[in-house]
Amino acid sequence: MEKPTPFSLIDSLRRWREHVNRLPTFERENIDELETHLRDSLARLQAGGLSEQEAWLVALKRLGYSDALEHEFAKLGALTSPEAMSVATGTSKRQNATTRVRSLFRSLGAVVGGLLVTMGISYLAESKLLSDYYDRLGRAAANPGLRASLWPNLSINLWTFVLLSALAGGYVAALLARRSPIRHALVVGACMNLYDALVGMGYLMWVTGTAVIVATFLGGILREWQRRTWQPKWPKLAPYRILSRRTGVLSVWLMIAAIVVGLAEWVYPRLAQEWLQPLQVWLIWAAASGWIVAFSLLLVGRFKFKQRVKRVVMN
Amino acid sequence: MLSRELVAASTVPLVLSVLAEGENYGYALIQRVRELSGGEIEWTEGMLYPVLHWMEAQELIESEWREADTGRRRKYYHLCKEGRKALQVGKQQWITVHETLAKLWKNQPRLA
Repeated sequence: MEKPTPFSLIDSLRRWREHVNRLPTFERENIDELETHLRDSLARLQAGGLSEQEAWLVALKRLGYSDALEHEFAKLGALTSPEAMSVATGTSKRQNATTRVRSLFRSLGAVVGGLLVTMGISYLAESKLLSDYYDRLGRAAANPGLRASLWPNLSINLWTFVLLSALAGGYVAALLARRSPIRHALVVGACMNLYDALVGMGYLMWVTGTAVIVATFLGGILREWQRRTWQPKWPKLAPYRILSRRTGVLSVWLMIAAIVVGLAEWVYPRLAQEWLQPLQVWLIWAAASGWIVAFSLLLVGRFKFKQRVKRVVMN
Repeated sequence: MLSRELVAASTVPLVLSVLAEGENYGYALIQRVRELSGGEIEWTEGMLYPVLHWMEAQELIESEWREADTGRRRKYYHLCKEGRKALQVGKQQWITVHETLAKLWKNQPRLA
């Protein structure tokens, strides 16, 4: 007769995790949270005098078996339906609708405000500053002596501007995206079409709008990914971590901008002359307006500054 | 022991109220409610998490993974502004129900 295998808590936990991991409803974060709960429960039951095996059976039963859990995670239950939530929290359907409308208007306001600032500054840039900038580039290109002395500075300045604007563009996109990247992207698209229908748009505005849509969408995805995977180890260093996280987000944008510009220059030298220089100038001004919008949102927020920053970065 | 329906209806206000005391994690939330109710309110523990996630999606609460004193990572939840508002509204309505029933039962004999 075969000897029964002795119970192992570690193996049981591992098998439970493997089983739950195979169920499509659960994300890794859900499983981590449920495992932490199980471990807490096990520790408490064992401290109360139960053996490992007894504690495991009780803890598992209390947590709920995986099929039932999956069912609840999948549908979130009648308990958490908007109707039940209205009863439970005391808010009516009308109040919920008001909150949704207010949230939509807030999003619209942020996006339209950001676009208006970008458009205004782009217009100024195109009319005066851009022409000055091209004059300098033109003179530098025409005169070998001047090009030799001026070009490195111009080039460094350009790249500095590109870096700064990529940082700011990424930040403001992430700020706007929050939890609804698709909604924000659609709103920006609608604003662009409206603006085009009313006054017409130059290619620079299309580049601006398209970049904002892409940045908004990618920013939302990036932040969601970070929210799921970022697990700090030293809570006391949270403010520094928030800063470093923000830098991390922005450095990704920096890399993307640098790669795109570099590749485009390499693949289409002609395009580089006609498109990339205006794009870089756009980046400068979009970045400046981006920072203005981002910081005004931070400053006018009714949350405390640190809380607001944390909210913006974490969500 | 409370009925399933009543437990369901009271879950969100209970979570909001416990978090109004300060941030907390799932297991401790359950323990706190069990302790305060004298064991009368029993949640199927795993079912609390979908509720917490839904509340988070509604921006009533926020969460953060942190390392606890034990060295184990835990997901801590805390109230948001919208959560505080929902708590105020919910509190008023539950008090109204409680007071109404108390008045109705004041002169009635105790049920066996």
